[in-house]
Amino acid sequence: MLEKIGPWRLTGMAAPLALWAAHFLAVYIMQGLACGEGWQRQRVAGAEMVTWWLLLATVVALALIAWMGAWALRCRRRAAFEVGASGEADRPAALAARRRRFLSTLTTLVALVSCIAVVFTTIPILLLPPCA
Amino acid sequence: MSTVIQSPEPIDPRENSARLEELHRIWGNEPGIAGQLKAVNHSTVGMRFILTGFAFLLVSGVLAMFIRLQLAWFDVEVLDPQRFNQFVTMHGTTMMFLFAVPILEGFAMYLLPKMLGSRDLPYPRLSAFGYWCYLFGGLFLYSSFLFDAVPDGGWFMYVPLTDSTYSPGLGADFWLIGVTFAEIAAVLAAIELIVAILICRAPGMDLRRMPLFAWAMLVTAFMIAFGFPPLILASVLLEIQRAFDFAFFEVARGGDPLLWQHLFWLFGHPEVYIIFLPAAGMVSMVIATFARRPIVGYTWIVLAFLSVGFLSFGLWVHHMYTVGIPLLALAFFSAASMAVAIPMGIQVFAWIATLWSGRPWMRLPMLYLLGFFLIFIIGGLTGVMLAMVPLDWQVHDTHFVVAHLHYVLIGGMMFPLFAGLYYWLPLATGRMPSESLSRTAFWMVFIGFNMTFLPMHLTGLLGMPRRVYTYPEELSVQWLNLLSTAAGFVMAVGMVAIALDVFISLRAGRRAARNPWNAGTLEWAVPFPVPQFNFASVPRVHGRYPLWDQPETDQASDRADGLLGKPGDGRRELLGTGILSAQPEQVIRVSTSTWLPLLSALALSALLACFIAKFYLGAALMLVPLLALFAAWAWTTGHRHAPLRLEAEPGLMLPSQYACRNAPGWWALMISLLIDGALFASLVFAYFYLWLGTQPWPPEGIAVGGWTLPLVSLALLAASAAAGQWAWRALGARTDGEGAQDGRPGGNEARARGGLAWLLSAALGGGFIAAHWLALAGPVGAPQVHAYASVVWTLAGFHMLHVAVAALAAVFVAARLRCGFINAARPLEARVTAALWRYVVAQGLVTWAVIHLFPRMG
Amino acid sequence: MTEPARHRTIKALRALAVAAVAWALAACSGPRSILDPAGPSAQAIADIWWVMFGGAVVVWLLVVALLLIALLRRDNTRELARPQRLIVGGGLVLPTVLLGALLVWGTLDSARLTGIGEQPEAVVEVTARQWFWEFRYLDDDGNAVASSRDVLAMPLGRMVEFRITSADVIHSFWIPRLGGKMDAIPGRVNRLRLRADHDGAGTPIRGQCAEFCGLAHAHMHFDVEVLDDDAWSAWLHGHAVDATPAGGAP
Repeated sequence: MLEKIGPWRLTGMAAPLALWAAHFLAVYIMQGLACGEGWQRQRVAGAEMVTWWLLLATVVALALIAWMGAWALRCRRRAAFEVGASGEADRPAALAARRRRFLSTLTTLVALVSCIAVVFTTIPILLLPPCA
Repeated sequence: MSTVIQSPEPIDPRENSARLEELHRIWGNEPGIAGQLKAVNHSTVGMRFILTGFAFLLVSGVLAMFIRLQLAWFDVEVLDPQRFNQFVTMHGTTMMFLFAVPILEGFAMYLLPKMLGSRDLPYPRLSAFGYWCYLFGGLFLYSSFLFDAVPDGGWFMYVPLTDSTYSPGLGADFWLIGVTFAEIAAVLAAIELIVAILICRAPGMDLRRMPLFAWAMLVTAFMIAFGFPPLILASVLLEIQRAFDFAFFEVARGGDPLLWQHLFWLFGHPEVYIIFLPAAGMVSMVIATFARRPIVGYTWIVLAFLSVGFLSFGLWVHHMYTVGIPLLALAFFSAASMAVAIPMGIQVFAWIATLWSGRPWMRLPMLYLLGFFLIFIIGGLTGVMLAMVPLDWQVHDTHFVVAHLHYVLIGGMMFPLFAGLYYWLPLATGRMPSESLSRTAFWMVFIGFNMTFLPMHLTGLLGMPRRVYTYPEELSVQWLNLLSTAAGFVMAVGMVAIALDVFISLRAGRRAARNPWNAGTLEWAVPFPVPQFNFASVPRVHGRYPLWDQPETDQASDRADGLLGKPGDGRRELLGTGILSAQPEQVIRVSTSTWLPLLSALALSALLACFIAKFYLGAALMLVPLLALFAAWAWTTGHRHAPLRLEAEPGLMLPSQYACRNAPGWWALMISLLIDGALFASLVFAYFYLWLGTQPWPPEGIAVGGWTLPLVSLALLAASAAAGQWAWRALGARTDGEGAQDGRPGGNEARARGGLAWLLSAALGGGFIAAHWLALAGPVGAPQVHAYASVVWTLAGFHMLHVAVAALAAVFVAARLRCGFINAARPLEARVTAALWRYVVAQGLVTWAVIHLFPRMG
Repeated sequence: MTEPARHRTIKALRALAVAAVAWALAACSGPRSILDPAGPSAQAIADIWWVMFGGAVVVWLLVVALLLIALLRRDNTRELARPQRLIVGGGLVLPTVLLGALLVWGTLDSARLTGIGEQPEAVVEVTARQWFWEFRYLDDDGNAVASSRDVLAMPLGRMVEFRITSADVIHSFWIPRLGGKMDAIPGRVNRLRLRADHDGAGTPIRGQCAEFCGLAHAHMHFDVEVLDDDAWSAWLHGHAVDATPAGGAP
């Protein structure tokens, strides 16, 4: 299964951004439910419960993205080593190694941008009450 | 790297020219007008998109000039308010739907196969059909002038202003139907381009060697796949409400006008980036050529495209900051709007870095890019201002926004487009643009543009709202407006000069040498005039800039002795390669010139014309020819008697697409289902959005009903799924590509059994439709009663339609089995239908849960 | 240049600068000018505008300067040694820091501007129609005591809460000199709080419909009269209606 979504695939490359989208949707929906349906509005530890749920979603998303980024970084190191070993030849194995290096570099950067985007989404959660 | 790839011995010149002649015969359009109407080749169709797009640009530009005249002073009346509203509506609609998106798709269709080293797009008839839909949709929209029913509700068509109470005429119907019709082209192009980029690249062009324009189009096409469905859904819902009195958006019956805004902007914001990204791809191509070096930060630019593609879907509410949504929700969208500026910055700095590390060559296309930079950055900066919630509360819906969006769209799309136009002009015409008239035209457009729209920021800040046909004198904005109008005409003259310049260069331009700009990418490897098949033999690629890495690439691809150089049995052939590695994988045989696209589009126009005339019987009757044409289309797809393995070049045998896992038909299904899934998700979103505002759910007077009929229908759906699976298994298909050695047809008995199973699944699907209909008809009642009933019926109807289509597909497969087109070694059509069936059942389960389970939970 | 001469030049320059600023300010004033605030909310937004305008000019000049250096570079100047640094610095780090800061500022300001937690001192019901505005002034019990059409009266220096809705299509309630706009949507009541600290002497204060609402959208504006406490009570008396329960707008 993981073979199919690894950082060396098109889907794997987009996965961190998909996580940003999932996080974005999750906090938007939770917030909508809280304000529309009164879901989890009781106050706990100085904030409404829904705020804690939103922050939990952030922590989960950031952890997953970081894990993907780290995975991609490891792949990148391995691929870089393989590229060094296979030289400049145009053999399929050498091409595949260079492709892996490219895709895992890309995935690492995608994870970085996704992290920034999730942090941006979180800033208002820290600054605002959920339904004002 | 300079591995020279050449055939062992040069091809005999006579053999070579015989092959070339044969290729010209196979790929050429048929002669005469009929031949033009039947044409499906990517160069022909792409060029049509481009020319039609320019025609709409000119028409829409004329509308803009009238608008500017009306606003030139505070007490003039060039247009009465009604006309003004019509012109504003048509100007925006035309620019967005009939100019920007189609013309970029046209460029992509024309250029991508050449850039990727392919001979054509994988579904030529589909792009031809898309073109006709676009043309007829546009004409349909403009035909409203003949009936004095021009849409006047704004290009954003907010309800309730556009519902049947406040817009009783046909204007809104013309908009909804015409635009949706034209959007078919966009969606089809998305399928076409995604598959072309994924599996039709030259061998050796693996992902990291793909031209950046291809990356941009790949992301754009996926964005279209997710972005257009919400708008299509919204248009369909509003048209249903107008025609049949449903209640989605009507407050009195439990609907919500904000649902329209959510769906519209869910499309509308990504749309801006759908327009910008292809232009960014063009910039990346042009800049490398004129910096005379490979692009710097290739990976970073791909990163930027990808990030923009995703983040732009988190911006839609920033058009809705003033509708009364809680602050925190606004702030989420503010955050995403800010975040999207990061990849924008990355791109811009990568382009600057490329110029800085190269030896810039200031030719005409570069001049347009300079204009792009100066203008687009301003648009980006004012975009950040609009992302700032408090500031947006003030400037939202003022002329400040008008200025901003023109800076973004004209700066970000039109200037790169003109750069691209001049850059690729020699490819299409074989002639060079002049460097004198064209420079004058550039400066007129550039100065005219800035003098029109820079003052407009201030006009807005002084309190002039958008979409007003006049303004009071006391605002003191008349001088600013007069300046905008005057400069607007300078810009218009500049645009005419550009058109004139292109025309003159076509007639009298200097003949272009081959690869006149010394570019590095494959589209410049073709000879002039460009043959319809682009490459006599498909080139092999060993770097990001094949013509710089291996200058002999163009000579090699001129000779008909390489990949697919030998015309097989007179069929149009493309080379299919692996998604990641771009290693040769299959030979794709595509369709040749045919009447089917034009006739289908005509039948569809007739259907829609009957619909807007409220002649519903006629519309229903028109389904008959339409379905017949589609059936003929499916029946004649590709070339089914092709041998299972074909010789792509001496010593390289490849399977034909019917025996290949990565067949274009399979990918077309996948992408279509993605688009359909987005449509379905938008509908489910609409259901829950209406739920959020309605207590109780279902509303009083509407029952949930008993369990029996829903369960019966669920059982029938499951049974049809089982039958479909059984039918697929019965074929014993092998999709590893290796099983394609022999064309062993399955036994007659097995085929008959399989056919019966397909028919059974179709019949069970029909049973499901009937049962589910009964399950809803009793408790829910008429859809007009309440928004709940409207949305439940629409959801159920949407799924029933899918079951019907899947059932038709099953009947089709049964017929094909009977005629011997499908067997274990050529399972493609059965495989596609089985997958479609699985999708429809999954969609049915979600629909069922939403309709029958959810209301019982509360 | 001699010392007095220099003084004269500096003086002249200073006068010129003052005149330019005065002219610019005059050009920015107007009955619907965002740049001519007459209340705290509009003032805060105008401040945001000026800061962002300045920042945008600086960023634009910076990027264009880099672009021109890149374009006009002659062979004798060094080409970019490490282009990656330009991309990371200019494209990733700089925007992230700047935009993050803006986001914090914008979020906090949006909360402050809407007056979360503040008690309004007067309540006005606003009903938008094609194509005019109806205002109903509520007393402390929520009964309408006065009404007006296309003229809005506000007490000077007091926070007023507007409860905005529409009787037909979507409109938008907007008094640029007092603050941001709020849409009037059928079936919803949106709240907006504004305070006028300036009575509009000199340049009047006007409101305007900001959402496209059909044929007479352009003419859907209204006057704002800012009155001190005495004049405000007198005005309410002059426009009194028979007390009807709030929310009873037909």
